[in-house]
Amino acid sequence: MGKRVMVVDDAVFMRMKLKDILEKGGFEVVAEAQNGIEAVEKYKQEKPDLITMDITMPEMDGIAALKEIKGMNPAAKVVMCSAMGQQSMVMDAIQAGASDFIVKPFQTDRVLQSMAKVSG
Amino acid sequence: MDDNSRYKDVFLEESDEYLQVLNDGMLRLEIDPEDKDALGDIFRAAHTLKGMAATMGYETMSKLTHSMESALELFRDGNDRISPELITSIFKSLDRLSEIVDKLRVDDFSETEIEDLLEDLSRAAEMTTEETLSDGRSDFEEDETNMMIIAEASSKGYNAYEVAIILEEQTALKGARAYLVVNRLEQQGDIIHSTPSPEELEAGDFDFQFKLLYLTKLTEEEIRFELEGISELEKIEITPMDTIPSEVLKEDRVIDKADHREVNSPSKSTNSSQGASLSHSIRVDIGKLDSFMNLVSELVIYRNQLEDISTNLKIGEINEPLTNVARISTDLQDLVLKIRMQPVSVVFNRFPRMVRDLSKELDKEIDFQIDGEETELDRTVVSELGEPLIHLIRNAADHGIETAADRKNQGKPEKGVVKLSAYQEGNRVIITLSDDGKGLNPEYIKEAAIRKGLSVDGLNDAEVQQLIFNPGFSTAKEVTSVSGRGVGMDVVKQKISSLGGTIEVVSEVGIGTTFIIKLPLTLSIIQSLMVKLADEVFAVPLGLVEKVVKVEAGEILESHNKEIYMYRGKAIPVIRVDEKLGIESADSEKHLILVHLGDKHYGLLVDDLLGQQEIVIKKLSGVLGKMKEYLGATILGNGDITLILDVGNLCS
Repeated sequence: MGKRVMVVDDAVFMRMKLKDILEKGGFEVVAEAQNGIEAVEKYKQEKPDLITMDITMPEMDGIAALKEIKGMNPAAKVVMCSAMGQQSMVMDAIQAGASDFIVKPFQTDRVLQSMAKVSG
Repeated sequence: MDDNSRYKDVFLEESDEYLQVLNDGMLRLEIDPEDKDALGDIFRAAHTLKGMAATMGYETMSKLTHSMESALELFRDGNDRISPELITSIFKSLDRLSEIVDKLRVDDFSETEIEDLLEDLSRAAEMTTEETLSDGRSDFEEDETNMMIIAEASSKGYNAYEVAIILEEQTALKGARAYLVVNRLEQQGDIIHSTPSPEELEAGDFDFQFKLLYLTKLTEEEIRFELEGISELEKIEITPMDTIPSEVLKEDRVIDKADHREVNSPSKSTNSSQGASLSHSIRVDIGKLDSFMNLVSELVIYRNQLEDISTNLKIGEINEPLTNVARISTDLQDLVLKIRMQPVSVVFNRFPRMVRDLSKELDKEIDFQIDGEETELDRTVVSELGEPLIHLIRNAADHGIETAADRKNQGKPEKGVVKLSAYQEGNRVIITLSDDGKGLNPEYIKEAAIRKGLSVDGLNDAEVQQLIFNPGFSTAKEVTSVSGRGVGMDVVKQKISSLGGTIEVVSEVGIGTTFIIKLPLTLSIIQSLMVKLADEVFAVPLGLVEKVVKVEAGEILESHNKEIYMYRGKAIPVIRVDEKLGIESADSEKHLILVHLGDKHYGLLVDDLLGQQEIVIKKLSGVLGKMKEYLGATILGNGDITLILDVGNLCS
């Protein structure tokens, strides 16, 4: 069975797109969250192997959520989803323990490459 | 080495910069031999200069730099017996190097004599090294420092690797990607070195590859495993350190061990495929910049023409695109003006060295202070500024500051102060040079003026002091080698005026002298107020205009044969521009343009206002150029030529 993934993004469209890419790549999307708070909640319930985390979200942003999740489980593997021009935020995320990042617009092979490498 | 000829301009320019750094550094060291920053700067500059000269095949130059560098070693060893002779030898070497560079500039390849200096340097060096432990190391190689760190680390069980990464070609956010790599590696070791520098890495300012010098307890395989977990890395090459060819490191800078991520040492790439995009700035030929400026100026003229046509023909559709053209050309102008701006430090920088030499030569103690050297001016102005300032500084050192003995007798501190400062005020830059020397004695000036046949009747002391700007005027009782005779202040004034500036002097006997130079920020394009006098249109530089008021006949009052206008409770002189220019104008209703000059207000009386416009200043030449009422001329949108009023001269 493929690795279990949680997709976090505030845009339904992006979640659909990512889910589509991931499932075609043999991953199992076990949870979706639309903001940081929801992401932290669902992480506790589902304990997914991998998380894709959007950076800009309402309520609690991706970096704050990343920190909380890393706080609960330092080994959690989180791949940040960033837009062009968010370099400094990506760096903050890396500092906070993000495993990798992917850049929008998503390209299927790049997303899958990243997920494969991170899940190692 | 013919292949190098195309780098020559860059070489010469950079050599100038490094020589400047060396001069500055030596001055700092002379004051405080413990100044480690200055020492670091000097070493880097000397080392780079040597490398550059050798690369270009300029042997004399590289030989001299080399022995200078060896002599500098003494400072680095923390030797506290550095002799004044050594410092003087180094300064002399710097001068000789400047000479060599100047000769190269005009393609003069004749040998410059350097044997004397080589001897001086080695003698000075020997004298001091004999007393210290001589380790026989002649050359400071930056990679040695790295090697030392590596050696030290390996004794503690760390391995050193060169990690070269090539990113996939379409990697987005390269900086963050590199950061991810760095971050991952640093969890298990230290990166003591990177090509390009950490800043450039983080900024993503590199082609798709970078190299890191990595100290870790991990094995090669373990490093590879760590990095394989990161996506978008096309190639990972890990080489144990002892096989790294030395040139990989040679050009790079040492990274501070303590804080490897926030070092600010710019590093150079040795890899030609990387070389292209490492720097944030490029050097541009001044000529190109000037023609850019001219083109933009012309664009402004034609834009004004278009605006005129559109107003006359009342074509509605053209308004919007025209507004956009106007906005963009204004932005373009701003930009080109900004590009042309240079900090005055470019000229100020060489003065500390000059004052040091002067004070040695004249045997006076002088504390030279610089303030506001970051103030920016158009480069034309900056480059023309050196000569008059040198003159003023020489005068201040020679005639202004008294000898230590004299100063002591007068109860002044033995060390004289010469202060050069610059600051921006509106669209002008003010540069002042002041000394706390003996001041200009109006009596001497009067005497000299009368000898020259100048009239001094009715002049107060301050006015008498301005006489020094008259041609052929000198009060120096004796002529020294430092400041000449008579030729001088008038030339200074001429130069400043040709830059569109003014100079005045304020001086008090026994207290000191201050020269105040006011310069326009830029020479070429200004905002102006278009006014009408009779049938003629004139331009008034808007920067000076504070307010425009409509005046009725009764509002202009007469007092002591002068006309005044009451503005905010203050009486300000009214200037009838038509009379000044010899134009007959109708006695209709008038507008008074209130201008601000220094700390004074004046009112310029004109017939009508036409509006505000950007104009390109064209210098007047010939007979017109001598008319001080006009700053220049400009071509209007309709092709008419309009004169620009020199408000400063009209009001004085």
